Amino acid sequence: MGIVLDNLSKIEALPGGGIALATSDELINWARTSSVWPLTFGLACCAIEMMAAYASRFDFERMGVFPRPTPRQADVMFVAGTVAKKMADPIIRIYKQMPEPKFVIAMGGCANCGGPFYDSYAVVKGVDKIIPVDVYLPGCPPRPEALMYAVIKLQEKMRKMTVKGGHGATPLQGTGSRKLT
Amino acid sequence: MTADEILAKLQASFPGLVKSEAPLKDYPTWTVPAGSVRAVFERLHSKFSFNYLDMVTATDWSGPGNPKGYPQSPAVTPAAAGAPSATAKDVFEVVYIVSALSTGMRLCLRCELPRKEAAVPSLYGIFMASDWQEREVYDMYGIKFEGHPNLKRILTQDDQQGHPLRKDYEHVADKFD
Repeated sequence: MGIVLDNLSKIEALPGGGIALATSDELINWARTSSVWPLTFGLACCAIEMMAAYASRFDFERMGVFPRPTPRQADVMFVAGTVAKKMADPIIRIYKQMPEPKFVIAMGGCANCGGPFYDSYAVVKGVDKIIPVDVYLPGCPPRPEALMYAVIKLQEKMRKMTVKGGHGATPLQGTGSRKLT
Repeated sequence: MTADEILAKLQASFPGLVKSEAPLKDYPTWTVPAGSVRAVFERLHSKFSFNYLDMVTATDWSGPGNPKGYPQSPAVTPAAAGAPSATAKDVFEVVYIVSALSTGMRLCLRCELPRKEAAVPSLYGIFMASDWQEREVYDMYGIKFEGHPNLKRILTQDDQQGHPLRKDYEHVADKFD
């Protein structure tokens, strides 16, 4: 078991290789960005592209993106598809069950703003009306490469986080997500 | 046994049951009065082995619909509303498609209801499929299915106001709009 230190600029291996020095922020963010675990959760046709991203051709797991079966083990939620109003309450409930820090990627036009269902009686006009969103990914549906790009963008955001005060995380991290409606 | 022979046998007991003028696709299409819907289906199910209810749906025949209350609805002017079309009637039409799996025969039955206080007997207990199908029709059109033990909304959220596929539906903004 070893750690590849090449990509970690602020981690220094002492001569001999027995000891490495790093700031805690750098180490935690490195761990966080290398294991972005999403919730196994799909709402509509965007979920098909999400599944393709997990499968062998695109192989999301090489980026550390490995779907988890329960929100309690998940770091990120891909809202992949149309959010019907009937689904809004379950989404809030799942979001509340995820541990902090948690992130949301709104995948596709429907999750961003309602998409082609903007004038509908049944669709939430963007998932950001019910939960905070970190990355908006346009497309109808976005290709798996685009979803990877969204995860890379999310990793960029994670690298700016600091342990102190939960800086840079989801806006609700300080107060917790229990204030959601 | 052909559809016409079945119809002739049923007409002896149900004089209101007639052949529809406008058939749906190439299905034998009959018009059935609301009062005898359940009895006709019971007979079709028990005597003529029509054991599969393909679908239940409905049509609102009350002329052009004017979407109101949606975020981007255009303002409705009398010119834009348009004249009532030639087929406009102040009725709902409940449409049933039922088939016999043993013979492959498929029938379409239509039932006209007045739009005010529209109600039709439920097929609950004859066909298992009628449970959710009738709940969907109730959700979208507000047609009451008498005798259904669990007639509540199935697709829209619980606090939805009105029935969205009615031509006179007006959208009321809720907490998600």
